Amino acid sequence: MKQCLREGELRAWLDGELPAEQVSAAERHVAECAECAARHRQVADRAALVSGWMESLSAGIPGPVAMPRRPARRAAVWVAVSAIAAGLILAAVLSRPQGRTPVKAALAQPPASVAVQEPPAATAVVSVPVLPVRRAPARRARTAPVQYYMALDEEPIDTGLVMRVALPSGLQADVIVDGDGRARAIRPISVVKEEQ
Amino acid sequence: MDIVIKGVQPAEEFALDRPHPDQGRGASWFEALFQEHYPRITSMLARLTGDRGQSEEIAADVFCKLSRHWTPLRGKGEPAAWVYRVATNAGLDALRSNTRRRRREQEAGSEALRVAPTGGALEGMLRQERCARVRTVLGGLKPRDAQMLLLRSNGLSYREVAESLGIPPGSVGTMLARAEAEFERKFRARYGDSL
Repeated sequence: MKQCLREGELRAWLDGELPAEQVSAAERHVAECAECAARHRQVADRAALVSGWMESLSAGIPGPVAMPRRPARRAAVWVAVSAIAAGLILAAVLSRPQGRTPVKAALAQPPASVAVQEPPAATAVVSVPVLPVRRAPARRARTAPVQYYMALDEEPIDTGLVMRVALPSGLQADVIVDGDGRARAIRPISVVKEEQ
Repeated sequence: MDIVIKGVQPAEEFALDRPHPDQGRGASWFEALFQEHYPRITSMLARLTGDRGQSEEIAADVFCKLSRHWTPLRGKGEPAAWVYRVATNAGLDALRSNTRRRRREQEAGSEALRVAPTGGALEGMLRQERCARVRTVLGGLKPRDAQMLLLRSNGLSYREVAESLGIPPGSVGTMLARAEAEFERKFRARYGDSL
């Protein structure tokens, strides 16, 4: 390289941004040209000085605030309660009687007595005895007097949805689920079934 | 913060346009851009303003603006370059608007409360004084020079700096050398040879 290096080329060389084909020529030229060597040192010293000033801005800047992580214990409790609640719901669904006729289908079929009834040929008065309707025995559930919720963590509950889950054996529980879908509190419900 | 953002780069405000649905750039592209550059930009702005909270506000505003207007940037290069350009402009504006407030805080000694000094109290005060001087000189530079120093100190390559500032890559070395010379000249003119 016969021509002297420009300041921009010297600066790019310092940053390793000079094209590779120019680097060796620049090295040879600076080795031969005292003026360019002096300018190279000047540019390098100034770059180091300004870089140091700019780097000083990093001192004392606090790092980004990390998002708080929930303790692992809470996660384990949540997983356990979720599994229990899911098991209760699944058990309740699967334990339904399979032979029960759907209500909608039963209503769609007219009663047999109405279907075969013929209009009377004579004008005789027929008295239809009113049969007593046999009602299905009603079940009355009586809950325990007071069942308090047991919190599953220490945080206050702002809003939540109460879900009642039940087992065929009668064991029931209310679970408060918050907006994130996490179970936050649970209470067992003791139900006493009695025939009326 | 909207005032800060609106106070700069009006040309870039209108350079954004929503993408055509067939262009295939969607939320995933924006998320990738955000995850790659948001930490770097907040770090750069925090060093510039000295206030991480403010830097996060500025960066969030810039990315929010980008997400609202989407890309492509018509004739304005890559979105990342646009983000750096707008962020550095907004940061420099914030730096200038903070000057008076920072001076009052320094006079009241409350600056020491913002950044807990590590080491001795004297060392911490000297470091803060040095930071304040550098920021003052940066705020007094031409915006292009200050942006050049900021982007380079943040580790951007010459090509990335050129894209961000809209200049030819071959002129980055020259402009950087001039910006450094101007910085040194202003610093020494204002504070002498101390520090």
